[in-house]
Amino acid sequence: MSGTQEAAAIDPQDVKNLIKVVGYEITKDLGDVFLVQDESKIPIWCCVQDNIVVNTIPCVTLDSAKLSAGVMRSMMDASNGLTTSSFRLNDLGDGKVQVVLTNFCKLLELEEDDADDIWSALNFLEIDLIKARDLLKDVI
Amino acid sequence: MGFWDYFSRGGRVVRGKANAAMDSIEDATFETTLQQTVKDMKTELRTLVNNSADAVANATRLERQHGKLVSQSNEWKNRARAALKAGKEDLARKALVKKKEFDEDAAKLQPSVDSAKKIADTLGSRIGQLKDRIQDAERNASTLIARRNAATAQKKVAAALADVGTADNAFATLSRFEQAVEKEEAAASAFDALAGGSESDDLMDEFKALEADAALAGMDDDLAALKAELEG
Repeated sequence: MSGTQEAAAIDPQDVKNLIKVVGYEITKDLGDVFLVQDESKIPIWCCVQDNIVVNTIPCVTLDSAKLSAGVMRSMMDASNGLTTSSFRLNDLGDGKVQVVLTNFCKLLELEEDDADDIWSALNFLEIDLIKARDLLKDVI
Repeated sequence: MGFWDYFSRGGRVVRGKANAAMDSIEDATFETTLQQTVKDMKTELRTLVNNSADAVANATRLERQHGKLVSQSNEWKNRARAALKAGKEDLARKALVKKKEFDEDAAKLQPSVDSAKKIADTLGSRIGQLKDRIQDAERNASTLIARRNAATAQKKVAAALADVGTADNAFATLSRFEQAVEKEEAAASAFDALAGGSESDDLMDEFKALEADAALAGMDDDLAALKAELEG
């Protein structure tokens, strides 16, 4: 659309290269979805869609009954201490739900700025994981 | 496995593929629809701009025409004045008749002038509003596309996680990492303590020797006193 910044699709391989440069290892590669880990081995799933990279950490699998209204409220509270991430719930069936933390960043030229953006997004996600564990400590 | 099981499995595969195809058609349609909406608004803008140019030109022309009529009316009024000064009343009357004609023509034209100006202003205002709407639409389209992309990406990740199962549990991994770090830190502290033990023993020995020297040095007076006692 003229007048707006054209959203050019990014090659997932270029994103993987950037992620390696900022210190993460690609431990599982499914094309535009891949698993990255640093020395902590915390699993972060990345997905490249057009010019967006969505990063997801699968925190824990719970009985959905444990997610009371109070717990959900604290997960959604704007002042719960999470920085760039938000919770999502994946229904696994059989009364089980997978709690994940997710954030994303928008990429432009795949240069230094984008490397910083990716590094920040991944780091903030890991920092938010600690807060997330704290928020869910009564149900895990 | 019965016939209907195969059928339902086959149906699921077909539905799965159809859904995937529909998803991709919907994705393409979504973006196309957004682009088309903005394109249509820009076409409307071009039409408005063209109409506005015509309206402004028309209003300007009518204003000029009206201006000429008013100007001519004033001229005939001046002629009437001059004729009166010259004592030519009949001539003055004729001049005033002419003035009146121009006044009437100007008065007849006034509504058209007002209307043309109003149309030009309205079109100008609509152009401004449409430009704002186009800007909003482009901004929203960009946001909607980004949100759509994020939603699509999250679906893909959820599918990948479903395949992996519950093997990935970041809380457990985090705890293991913290324990490993604590263990390393404890080992490092222990090593420091061991490595620092012999060093501090040497230091203590030195201080003890220093204290012993000081003690000996402090005996001079006592020694002198004892010598004096023995001699005496």
